[in-house]
Amino acid sequence: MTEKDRPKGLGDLLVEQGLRFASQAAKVMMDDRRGQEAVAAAVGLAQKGMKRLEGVQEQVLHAVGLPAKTDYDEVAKQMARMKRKIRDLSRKVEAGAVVGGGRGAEGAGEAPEDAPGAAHRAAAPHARDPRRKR
Amino acid sequence: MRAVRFASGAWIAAVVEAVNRHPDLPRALAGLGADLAAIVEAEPGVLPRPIAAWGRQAQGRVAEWRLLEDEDEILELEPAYVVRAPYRLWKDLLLQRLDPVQAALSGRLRVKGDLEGLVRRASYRYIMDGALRAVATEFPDEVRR
Repeated sequence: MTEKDRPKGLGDLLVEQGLRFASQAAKVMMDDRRGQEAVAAAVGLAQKGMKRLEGVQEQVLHAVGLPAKTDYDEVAKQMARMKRKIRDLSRKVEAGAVVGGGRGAEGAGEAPEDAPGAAHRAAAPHARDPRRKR
Repeated sequence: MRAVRFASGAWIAAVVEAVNRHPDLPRALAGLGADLAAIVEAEPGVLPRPIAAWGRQAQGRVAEWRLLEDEDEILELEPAYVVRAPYRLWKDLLLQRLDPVQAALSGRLRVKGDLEGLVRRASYRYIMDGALRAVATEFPDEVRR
C-alpha cells in the first residue's frame, strides 16, 4: 500500500482542515498590505524557530556522536560534485573519441544552446562559474 | 505567437527576457538572495524526467540562468532559494489558478530559503504574471500525440 492509498486518519484530517483554514486565512490577510506584512512576519518567526530547533537537534546528535542533517547535506554535496566531475570527464572522453575517430573536433562535447547545462548570460560582466562562489 | 514548450530552454529564455524588460523588477529583487533554483517534478506520461533550472540576479535583473543536467547540481550550487513542485502545480501557478503564497504556506509548493522575503514581495507578482502572459506556453500534457 502506497502513502497515497493509505486511509486518512483523524490526525491527517485535522492537519488537512487546519491547512485549508490557514490557507484561506492567509488569502484574506494577503489581500491587505498590513495583512501581508503580518503573514510575512509570522512566516519569518516560524522559519527562525525551525532553524533554532535544527541547531539544537544538531548539537544533541553531535554530542552523542551521531551525524546530523548538516553532515548528510555535506556528503550529498560532495557526491553531487563527484557526479558532475564524472559527467564532465566522460564528455571529454567522448569528445576525444570523436576527434580520434576522424569526425572532426568542431562542436564536439559542447552542449547545444537548448540543452541542459548550457549557460545563458544576460550580461557578460557577471559571467563566472557559480559553483566557485563558496 | 508561436507557443514554446513549458520549461524548455527557449521558454525560460523568453520568460527571462520578458521579466528583465519590466521597469519594476529592480525594486522587486532588491534585498532578495542572489540565486534561485526551480524544480519541476516528473509526472509519468507527461514529464518523464524532472526539470531543474537555476538563475542568478545581479543589478536588478536576471543576469544568467541555465537548465541543470542533474537536479543534484543544486546541492553543489547551494542557491539562496530552492522552489520545488509537481508539474501540475506549476501549471496551475502559471495559469494563475493557484496563488503562490497560499501554495507555499500550505506546503504544496516547497520553498527552501527566506520565505518571509518572498511573501513580502508577493505584491510584485504582476511582473511574473505579465511575463508569463507575454510567452505563449505549450504544456506537455496538452500536446496531441
